[in-house]
Amino acid sequence: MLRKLIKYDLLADYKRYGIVFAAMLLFSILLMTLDRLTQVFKGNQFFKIMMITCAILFMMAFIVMFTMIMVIATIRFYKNLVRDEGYLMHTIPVPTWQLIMAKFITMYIWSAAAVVVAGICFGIVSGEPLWLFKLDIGWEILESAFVEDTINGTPEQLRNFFLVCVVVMILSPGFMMLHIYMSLALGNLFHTHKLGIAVLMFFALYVGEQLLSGVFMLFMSADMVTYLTDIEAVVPFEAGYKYMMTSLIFSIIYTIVLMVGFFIGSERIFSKKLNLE
Amino acid sequence: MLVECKNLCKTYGETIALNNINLNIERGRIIGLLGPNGSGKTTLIKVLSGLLTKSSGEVTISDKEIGIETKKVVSYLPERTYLSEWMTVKQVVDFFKDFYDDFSEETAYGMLERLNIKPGDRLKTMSKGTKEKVQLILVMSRQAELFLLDEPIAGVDPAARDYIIKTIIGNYNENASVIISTHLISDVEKILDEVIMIKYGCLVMHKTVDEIRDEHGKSVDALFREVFAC
Repeated sequence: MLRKLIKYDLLADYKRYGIVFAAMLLFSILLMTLDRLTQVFKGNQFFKIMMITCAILFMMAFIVMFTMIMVIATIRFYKNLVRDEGYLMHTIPVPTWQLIMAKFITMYIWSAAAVVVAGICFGIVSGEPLWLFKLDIGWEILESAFVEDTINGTPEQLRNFFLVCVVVMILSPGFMMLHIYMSLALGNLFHTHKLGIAVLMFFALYVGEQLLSGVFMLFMSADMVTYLTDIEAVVPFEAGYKYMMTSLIFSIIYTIVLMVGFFIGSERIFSKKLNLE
Repeated sequence: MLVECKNLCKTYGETIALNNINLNIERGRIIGLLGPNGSGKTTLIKVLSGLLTKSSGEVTISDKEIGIETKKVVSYLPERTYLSEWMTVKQVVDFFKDFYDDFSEETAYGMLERLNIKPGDRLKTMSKGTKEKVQLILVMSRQAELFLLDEPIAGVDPAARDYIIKTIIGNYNENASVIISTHLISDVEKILDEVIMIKYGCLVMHKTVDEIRDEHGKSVDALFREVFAC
């Protein structure tokens, strides 16, 4: 059933995403063309200005694209489970957790597609369509800087740091999505102004999460207090690295715990306190 | 017994929508759920369909608590359009086929063809009335045990009402029951076996149409006007 739900969730928005992805690819071709023209007409100010403007817009378009995924996923969840379409979705013989999970997985599928599109766009603009296969060169440069030239870290430390950063990046959209689901579920508990209350809940949950993580971070940064209170002090690499890795790993665990909590919370509310009025 | 409600209550804050409802519904019946606006008809139907959770009491359908198992045997038509606008008729038929084991694709396409609704038609290009007909066809194309129809003939022209009533009669089986919530009693009276009247969330009457005629010497419509006179 989960697969079927995902199929319909993908079908619902594929045209919208198709347009956005096609627009991004066209934009990157335009930017590549302008780049070539700027190189041919070196002194031409018009092409230079156009190039800079388009480059800025291109970067903004990426932010808009990734933000759009969250917005579309939120609208889909709201319309499909909380508004009129919920009258159908909540009467099909499917467990509530699958209804939520299908939307969650669909969001990740579109996010992954957006990352692929972003990679292709970057390849077009940079004139290196196969840049992904040349990452080892970039990694070597990064590694040499990290190990020898400036920081004096080990290759293992760099790999670990990179891995942790990737996990944080993968978890972030999922965390935001489940935070939104939980807010909408809490709004559903009220009889009037459900959407307004859901927005308030979103901010209330955010403040709660920040306060809680702030408290944890205070305990964890005890080693760093001497450095943080003395502006003149230079943080030794090992201490800084340890602090950063601990913070990131804590952040991952904290995010996963909250994600599980939000998922279970939303599921419980929609299955036990469903309130489609 | 197909449906059993024991001391069923549903409250919204301090408002009592359903107050101590005790109800038994057998198989093979067409039941009119009647009452003025705000009497609790829709709330009762939503509780039976699983869209609202009861505040207290017991509700069972085919001896099962409301949940996934009852959703498999309940076919629910809400008072509003619940189909996604982006879908085509074929996609909604596929959707029902994918999620309901008792859905008959042939029955649905047969009825759609008679109304000249094509599988490729998009829901967003349809009128409200046509969308309602598509919904009714989908709901009645299931071999469900309980059909819950919330105001199926409200807001449609008399010709469409006749079509809807014919569709209901033509598609339910003897093993199933149909609960129809409506204000338009005279239009459905001729097909009803039983009548349930609700007022301020309380059950005021549950009788067969024959009992009403014998005991009160009136039609259901006339009795409704008497019971709910303002």
